[in-house]
Amino acid sequence: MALDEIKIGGLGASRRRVEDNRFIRGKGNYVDDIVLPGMLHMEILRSPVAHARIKSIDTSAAWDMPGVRLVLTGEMMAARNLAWMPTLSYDTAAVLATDKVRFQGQEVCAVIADDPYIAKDACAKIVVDYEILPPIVNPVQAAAPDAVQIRDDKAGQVGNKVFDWEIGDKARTDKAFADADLVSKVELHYPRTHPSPI
Amino acid sequence: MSSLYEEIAPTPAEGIAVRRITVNVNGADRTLDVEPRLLLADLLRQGLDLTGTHKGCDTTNCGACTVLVAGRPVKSCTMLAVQADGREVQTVEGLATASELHPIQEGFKQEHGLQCGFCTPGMMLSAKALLERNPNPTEDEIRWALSGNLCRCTGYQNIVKAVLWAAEKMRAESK
Repeated sequence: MALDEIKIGGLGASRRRVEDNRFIRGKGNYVDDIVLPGMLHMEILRSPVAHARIKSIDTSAAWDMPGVRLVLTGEMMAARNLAWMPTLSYDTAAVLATDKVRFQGQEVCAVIADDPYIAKDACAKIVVDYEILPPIVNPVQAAAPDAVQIRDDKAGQVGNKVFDWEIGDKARTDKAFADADLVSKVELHYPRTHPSPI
Repeated sequence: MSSLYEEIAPTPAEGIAVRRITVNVNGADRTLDVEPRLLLADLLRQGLDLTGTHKGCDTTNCGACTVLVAGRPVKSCTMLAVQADGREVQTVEGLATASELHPIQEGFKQEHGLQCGFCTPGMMLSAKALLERNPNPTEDEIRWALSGNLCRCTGYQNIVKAVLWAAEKMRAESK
């Protein structure tokens, strides 16, 4: 952009983006683009089932593969008090599953290896013995009084509602609805979101 | 086990057959020994350090890995490197010359066709293949040609404008 084309301004003035130059050349440094000397690669073994007790995990064949540096299980993490981590709303989330898997895709083992293909091969050699439990697949099912309890890891947890959240002045809100000429309702289904770095 | 990080001496994998392939990448012949199962996307990203081709989904859905093989857009995550043996592959790194951006790259810059930039290389290469066979596409034709490339940021509107901008510039330059 020529110097005489640049318009200096405050709020409301357009600016050229500075990051486009590297992105349009394929020179963005996204997380998977990073290369460091001696870098290792991780692959995660995930649960194929939504709800199950983990009876046993046999990682011996994975450890035996050349190029595999570490095969991490929830038990190894728990021995170091690292199996659970704090998350939103004062809840905790499993880093690697210990006693149960509580959603399909939950992380069960992590393999660190010299190469991502070796790490994937090693995951395929891990044998997990699952005792399958009844699954819950939507919030309506989860709210039923006889629903199986998923978060039995939480002390004092009853049922499947993990937290309540409210904000604002309930009394005035209720009055506004009571005084309204027309009240309409909408049912929103919000899919699960999982933010990931790119 | 006593410590979390047990040393395992890395040894070459036994009995894994490798194939020697020669792929012309962005105009240069590259010869490598690869496992038959190596994906073209991994050949580019890990073997050749061309990380402009992105892996977005692992399921052949998103098109962020799109490259041109013999001029045609291909999802490189779903092609084996050995299938590119003897073929020409163009990646985003091959679009610009030493001194100039390709009109498609300029168009994305001028028309704000990118935000996070992750889908952009794939978008630009799919667009390049379109403009080479159809130098004057309609908006519908652009949207159809790019329907294998997903974008989560822009809502596609400015991507279409970027391709229209590039098409006009390329038509003007070819006169």
